[in-house]
Amino acid sequence: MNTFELGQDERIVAIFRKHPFYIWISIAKYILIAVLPALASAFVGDMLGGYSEYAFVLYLVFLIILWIAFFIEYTDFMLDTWVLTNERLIDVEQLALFSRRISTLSLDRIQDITIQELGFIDSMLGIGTVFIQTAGSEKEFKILGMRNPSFVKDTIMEAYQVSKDRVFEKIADLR
Amino acid sequence: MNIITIGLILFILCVILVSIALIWHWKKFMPESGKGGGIFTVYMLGLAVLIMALFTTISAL
Repeated sequence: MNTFELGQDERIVAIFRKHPFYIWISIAKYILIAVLPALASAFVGDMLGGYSEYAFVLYLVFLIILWIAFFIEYTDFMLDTWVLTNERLIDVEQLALFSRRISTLSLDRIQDITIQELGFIDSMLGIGTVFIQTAGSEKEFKILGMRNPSFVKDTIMEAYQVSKDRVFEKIADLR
Repeated sequence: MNIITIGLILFILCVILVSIALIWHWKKFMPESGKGGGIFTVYMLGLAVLIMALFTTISAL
């Protein structure tokens, strides 16, 4: 189920998500945070003395909170999507549980698409940012941390071309 | 009831509420992730293990 409604003749062409590298980083971050107190207790364990059982209870509570926090972050990652339809590009940004921002860009307003890959990791893993310049004075559309940005660019350009051809066909039919 | 029991009840209540919110999101917006093992199974297994460990430790205090 989508977080937005599609138009009558609208159909989804592609759904883009951030590169899974971001979720690997997140997993590594949570493992590190989970292990740190255990490592610290190995050094200060003797100082806790009789309180070590209570400290272990607190550590378990901390692990439960971390477990839930990771799944909230994972859900956020999975629901942060860019949906390309045959009429528009929809940016669904999950801000928190039950909070999201949905921006829409009509394909006929696209003027230029730029991709940017910065640094070693981006180049090796094929991560990049796609910038979409639009007609008008509004801010440019930015798709961050995308897997295979060239493919994303080509897919959007293809959808834009098809959308433009359809508009010309409609104009020709009216004449 | 001492402060630890009240704190534990409140904590478990929060865990249940956040879990319901997460499961609602997965069912509504990520139905494809529920197929097979899925995120729900991993989440519930991990949570069950941690909560069981918590109760075992508390009962041994």
